[in-house]
Amino acid sequence: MNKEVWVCGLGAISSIGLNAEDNFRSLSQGHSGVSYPEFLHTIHKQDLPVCEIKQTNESLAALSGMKIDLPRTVYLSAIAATEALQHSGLSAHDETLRFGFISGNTLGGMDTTEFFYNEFLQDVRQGRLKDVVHHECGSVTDLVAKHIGIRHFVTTLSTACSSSANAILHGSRMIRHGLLDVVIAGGADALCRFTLNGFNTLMILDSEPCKPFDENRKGLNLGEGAGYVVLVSDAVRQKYQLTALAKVSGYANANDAFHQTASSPEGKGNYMAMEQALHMSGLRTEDINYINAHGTGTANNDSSEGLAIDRLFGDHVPLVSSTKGHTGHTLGACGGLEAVYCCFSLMHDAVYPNLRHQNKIQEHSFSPVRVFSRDHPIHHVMSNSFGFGGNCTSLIFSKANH
Amino acid sequence: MSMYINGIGLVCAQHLDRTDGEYQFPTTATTRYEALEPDYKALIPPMQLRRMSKVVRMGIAAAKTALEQAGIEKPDVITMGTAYGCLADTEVFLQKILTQEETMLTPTAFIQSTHNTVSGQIALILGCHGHNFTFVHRGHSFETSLQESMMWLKEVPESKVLAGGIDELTDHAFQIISRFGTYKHSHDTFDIPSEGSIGGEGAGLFVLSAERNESTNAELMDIRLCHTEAIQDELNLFLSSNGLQASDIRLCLLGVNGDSRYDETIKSHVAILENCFMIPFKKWCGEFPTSGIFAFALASKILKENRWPEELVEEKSENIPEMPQHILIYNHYKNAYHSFILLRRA
Repeated sequence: MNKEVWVCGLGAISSIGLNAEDNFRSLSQGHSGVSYPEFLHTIHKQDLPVCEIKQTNESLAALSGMKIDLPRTVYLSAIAATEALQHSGLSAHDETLRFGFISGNTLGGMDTTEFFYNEFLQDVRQGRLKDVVHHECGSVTDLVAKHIGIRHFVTTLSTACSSSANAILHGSRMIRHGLLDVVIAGGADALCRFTLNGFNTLMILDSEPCKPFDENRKGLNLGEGAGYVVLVSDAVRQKYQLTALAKVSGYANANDAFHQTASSPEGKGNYMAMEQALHMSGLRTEDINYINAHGTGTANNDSSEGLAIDRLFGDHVPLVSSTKGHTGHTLGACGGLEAVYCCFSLMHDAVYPNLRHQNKIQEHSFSPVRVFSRDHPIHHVMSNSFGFGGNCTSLIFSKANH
Repeated sequence: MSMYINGIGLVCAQHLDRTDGEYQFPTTATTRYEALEPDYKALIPPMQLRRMSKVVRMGIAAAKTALEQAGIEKPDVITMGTAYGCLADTEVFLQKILTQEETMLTPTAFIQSTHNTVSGQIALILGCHGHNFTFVHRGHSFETSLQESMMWLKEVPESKVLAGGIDELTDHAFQIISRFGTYKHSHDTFDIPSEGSIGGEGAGLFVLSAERNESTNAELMDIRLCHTEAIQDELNLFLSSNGLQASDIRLCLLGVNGDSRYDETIKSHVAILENCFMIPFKKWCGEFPTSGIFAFALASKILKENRWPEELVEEKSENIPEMPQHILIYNHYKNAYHSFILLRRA
């Protein structure tokens, strides 16, 4: 089994930047992407803030180089995956390498299905078929794989808000098993009425910009985006003399098995995912310098996650922050986006501010980081992603030269 | 290392029980086969059952049946595949968003609409905290979950993996998919060569383990997901990497689906299997992206029973052939998402 999996390329698009570098710059400057929806077709244009990418579908299509009339998630995925591949310097047309594209998303082409279904409900012969043909999550991935020329392996994971973290986990595992040489792994999700209204019925949307890990947090803001890392085996890194940006040193997926949508109060699944990822990495709790938390801003998530962090790390709780105050909760994209942010953290010794935090959660031992810093050497970072269905995933990335 | 199929739970348009020693799979003159749902009373408490959509209850029932057969209370790993996810709940919530113009909505359907609902519910009901995955890659969803199971068993040979595939076909989905020309016209049956197939649905869950025991049905030797159009080359590679030649394969469960646009092409891909008898399994379960569950269950059963399934094979022979050691499954969805699975008598 191949032991080492390296990150050699990054790509990101979100409400705080159309590429990875812009995302990093916005994080370092504390920019927030929260605003009212302008492009999303919804009645909630004045009451539910979101983290929307201020681009029309047509301009995203142009950016991605794809045709118009596709689901928005396709464009976001294609833009970030293309950037990641270009960043790595590898070519998908290299005949000597087995390339994979493993992507997470939760809604496939739901945004265009919404338009189709409205007409279909009036008359089952109505509705443009091209608005529903890419409804499936897998269809989004296939369109992007074809666009970037991936031929050897393509798959899609949908484990709610941990989808893209699990895509990275699966890509790493396939490289370790020698099944693939290079994997573009991450995920994408665009805003749509289905999720905005769904989360609204659960009463976990904040009507103000969200405040993760704040004692008085009121909920999350939905966001949209895509984030991908290019994973390679050690043999590929050496053969092509690629610059490794980070190393994948641990991952684990555990199930909370408590409730379909809520976390157990003590964060059992969260704890297990973090603990098992740490065990795999062979690191000690004090070796982790920074946790990019799931930290959605809901009462339930932040409480459970923090308690699980306290329980696992005890006296060694590292620097913790959630970047969802910047990007909102991008659902199937967040694990990919935050993996990109973690790699930047290792590359620049950067720790991101947890925006709008004022009051520590009483039951937690720690407060999240409030200001951007490059003062601490960052050797190992942990990235958490937790989702509906009890799906909890924790990834650990390490400095490339460690 | 070896991998064994130690438990099978299947809910689809056919039961795998044999009467009079033979499989009795009826085919009806319809363009849609609905799953024959079991009596859930013994499997799911009524309070829970009332809240479950069809796809969830089929999945839970299949999971419980597979685990019971394998003599396991709780798996270490759950890995599922579904192309469409929870369509019924998705439709309910979407319809309300549109007709109620985003007002007065309730969360139940939304909560149950996520693609990982079935694997999450299985974990919840069993108290299973282990690794839990849901692949949603169209006609490769189930096969990818099998591929992942094999990786798990290589890494952690003592694992008990619950792997499966699931898809439901709702009325709306049937109407929409029909408009794409996927299903036959109402007067055509599977055997009439015309455009389109028969719609199907189902849930198949399997306990996979590195341990061979008395509940073992068959051995899962290997799986190959094709991402190329050179399917014949893939088959040759697949067989040779498992130390086999085309002439070794005597029985194949073939994914022809009655659609005149694809069937000849699909048959041509396995033309190198000259001495092989074909079982056109979609004739009985219908066509759906995770139809591989039916083939996987049927092939496992045939190997366990070790009896030549004369009633299922397409080409009748004068002398009943000897039951072979291997069964090959070749599946596809609309001439894409081709896959090969190789099973062996355990």
